[in-house]
Amino acid sequence: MRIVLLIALILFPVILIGWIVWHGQTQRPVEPATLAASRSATAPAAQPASQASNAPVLATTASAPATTPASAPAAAVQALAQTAAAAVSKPTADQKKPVLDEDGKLRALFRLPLVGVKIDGQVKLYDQQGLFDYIDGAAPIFIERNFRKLAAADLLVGAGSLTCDIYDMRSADNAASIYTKEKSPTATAVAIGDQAHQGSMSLVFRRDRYYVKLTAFDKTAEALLPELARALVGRM
Amino acid sequence: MSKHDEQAAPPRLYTRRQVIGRIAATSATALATVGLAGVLHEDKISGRRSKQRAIRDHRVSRPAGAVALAVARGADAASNVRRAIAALGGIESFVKRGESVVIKPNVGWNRLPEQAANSNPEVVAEVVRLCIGAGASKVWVTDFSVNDPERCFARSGIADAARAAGARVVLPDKVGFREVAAGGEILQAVDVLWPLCDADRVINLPCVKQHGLSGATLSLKNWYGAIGGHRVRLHQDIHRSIVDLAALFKPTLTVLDATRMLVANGPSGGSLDDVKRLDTVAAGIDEVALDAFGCTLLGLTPGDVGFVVEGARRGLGRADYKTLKFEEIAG
Repeated sequence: MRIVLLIALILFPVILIGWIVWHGQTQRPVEPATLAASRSATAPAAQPASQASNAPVLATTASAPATTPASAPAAAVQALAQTAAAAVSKPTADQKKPVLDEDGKLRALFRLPLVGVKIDGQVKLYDQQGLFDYIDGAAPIFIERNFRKLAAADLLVGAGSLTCDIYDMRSADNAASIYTKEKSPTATAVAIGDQAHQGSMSLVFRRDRYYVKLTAFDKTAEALLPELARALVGRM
Repeated sequence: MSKHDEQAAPPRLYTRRQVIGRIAATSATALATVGLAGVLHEDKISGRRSKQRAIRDHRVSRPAGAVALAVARGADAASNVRRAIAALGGIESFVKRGESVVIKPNVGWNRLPEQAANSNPEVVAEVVRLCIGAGASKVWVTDFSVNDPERCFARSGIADAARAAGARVVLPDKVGFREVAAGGEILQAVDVLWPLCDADRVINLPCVKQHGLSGATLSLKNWYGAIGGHRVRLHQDIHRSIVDLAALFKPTLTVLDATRMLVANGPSGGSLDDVKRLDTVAAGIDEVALDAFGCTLLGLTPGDVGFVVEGARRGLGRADYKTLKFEEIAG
């Protein structure tokens, strides 16, 4: 019995210390430092809408280097620190007001777009660089057309679900240009907004400076697309 | 010490030698226990470690005269997989009993199988089944999704199909990456999903689709989903970046899925109007040759797609796929 107690007394602190050391290591962010550095160096991808309202536009950090040294934890920490500093520093009045107003309008389009529709998760905003993290290689055709920001969210309607992507193209001409570029030749024109077409599981329209893509994942959501599109047009 | 003191001292339970010995034994046991716990936990946390290492060559030696590229067509996607791989010599010529295998499909998008933005789940599941049937000790299925990984793996049907077939699905937000020196013309270092570093065998499983910037998504491009980080850096000089990255990976086998093909508004698509059903699966070991073949499915020539040209120029494979031993199997 004494031997058991002795072993327990010695094992307990050793295991405790071991566990604390291990636990401390595994509490690191999922991303390795270099990955985090590369993310921060190329500007943040997306801002949840709830944060975006209080934060400056992080695209201002895009002047950071586009590449990160391969094995430089110090550089990674420095890059993270610079991003954090940029995020908390107040932008100038010139930068702040117009950008936040435009983002605010974009986010407002998602506020209860239709009775019975719920946002599944968060509305996320993507700037020009972040757009690659959402639509990958399709981003350049938007950026070429003076894309400003995308607000994207998954929506739930009863048992159905869909995604809603609202691109702010800065002008109606830009929105018309991307609409023409992406239009499926077999889709059917519908009278929504300035121009719209509906395909199987999809409805795309433009209204003023906004280009909107609604993509359904089931028949329930697909049936709702025209009504949802009209509700969104009513806000634009 | 006086004689009186010696008489007053309590009787000793252990000698000094016994105490030292027991403490040493106990400490050794404790250390061994902690070490064992660490080793046992290694499998769980290995992905969280970032290490500089090269990715090994996962190819296997092939018999002379073996078929290099096989294409199977038919309404049953799983049958297409089986027949294409059988034409190459069977899965047993690529995966041996006890080996671990990672399968890297395209699961980039929050899209249904019908929307054809991801690899087909039936094709993924059949490759898993074949590997398990060949005696693979573990089969991982992983990808670094563009959209939210959980939604992508669920919506695509790949998570359920792969698990049902016996694979372990490794979502990128729950694992880590290994930092690997790329030494490419554009990419110098990349963070690679750990199963692609740890597995004995690697199977690339891309889908064929149109891509707004690169022209096509095929085998070489599919390696974009093997690494972390912001994707904007990969699109500055996309064709050379694709080849830089593809040069890092030497997969055991590549299975090119063209069951459904997104022909416009790629890579994400969405409308079923942009999808064409081809019911085709190709398999091979030369990714450039497979991509050259994939170009023809999209109505392109290999010369139309910059990364196919660049891949051939850098010696990753042959764009003139018809000069290889090539077999087509009708359904």
